[in-house]
Amino acid sequence: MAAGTWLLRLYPETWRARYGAELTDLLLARPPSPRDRLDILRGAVDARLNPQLTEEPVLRVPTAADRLLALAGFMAGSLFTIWASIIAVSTPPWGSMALADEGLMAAAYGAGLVGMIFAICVLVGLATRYVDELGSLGAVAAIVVAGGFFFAIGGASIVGLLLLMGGTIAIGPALARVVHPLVAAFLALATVLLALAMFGFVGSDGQATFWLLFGGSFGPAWMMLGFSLRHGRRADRIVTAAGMGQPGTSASPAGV
Amino acid sequence: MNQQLGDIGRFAEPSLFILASLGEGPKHGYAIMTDVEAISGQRLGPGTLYAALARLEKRGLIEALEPEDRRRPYRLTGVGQTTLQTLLEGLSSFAQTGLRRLQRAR
Repeated sequence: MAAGTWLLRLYPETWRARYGAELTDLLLARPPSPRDRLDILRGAVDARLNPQLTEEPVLRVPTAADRLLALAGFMAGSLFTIWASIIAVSTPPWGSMALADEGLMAAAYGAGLVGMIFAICVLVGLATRYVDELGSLGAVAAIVVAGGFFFAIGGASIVGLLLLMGGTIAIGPALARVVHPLVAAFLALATVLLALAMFGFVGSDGQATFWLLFGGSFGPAWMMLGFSLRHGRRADRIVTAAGMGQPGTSASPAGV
Repeated sequence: MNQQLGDIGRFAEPSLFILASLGEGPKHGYAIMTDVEAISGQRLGPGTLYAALARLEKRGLIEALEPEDRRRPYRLTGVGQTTLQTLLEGLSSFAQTGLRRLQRAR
């Protein structure tokens, strides 16, 4: 990132919302020396230890579309959990000659298919409706994850899982601006563990571990994502220096 | 300076420079930085500049104006003007006293 502007990421989000654009502009106009970079670092520590800003409570007004998106996310998670639970329960022990109940298996994969369709809807909804909060990179990552589900539906489960893993990791930081950061982190962790289990890096019995993680963490993570989306999009942040009114007045900056 | 900017701690001196710079009219961050360098010979680091601006804004000594592109100018408030006046008069009196004593000692 040019001109050391990446250092601004060290500042608290509220601080960046208020002063980030100005300081970025300053750094572009006057590229920082190593001493300036150290000064910015000290400023970031100071901003965290001695916050001078207060932030109005984040306002979220959910619309019908937001509630539908939340419901779709919750349904996707529920269906993933049901899918994995049925598979885990109905799969005969390894080495036994028994066959799984075909009806149950069909129901499980049916639930999984519908769950993945719901998940794709959520991801496309996130990429379009929440693009302001996700940013362009986050929106692209959401589409990549949707592509992962799409490949998985088509039977290319390895490609699908790779896209799911990469996309979910990429969308994590952006998703933390939409839902609680712990939910975003849990979803990323659950997806990575799932991929590792798929490739045999986690657990001694790959298949059993995979379905255990699928039903025990991936499904619940999606349920939590859906639950967290029920609040809707947040309104523009209003950050003020404590004790002052909203930044900016109508006065003209003569002589600037 | 202790009375007016004492609670600003290590940012008291940069804050005085900023107030003095804004004494001639509104300026944005980059203009303040170059002006302070011109009038005091001291270079304000970007982190120090914005830490001091945030403190001054919080205490109502300066206020932000409508941004122009990404640049947001600041100007002194009424309280800021009074504070700057008091600070500079105090410094002037201190400097004159010190110079008189120095001359007497010679």
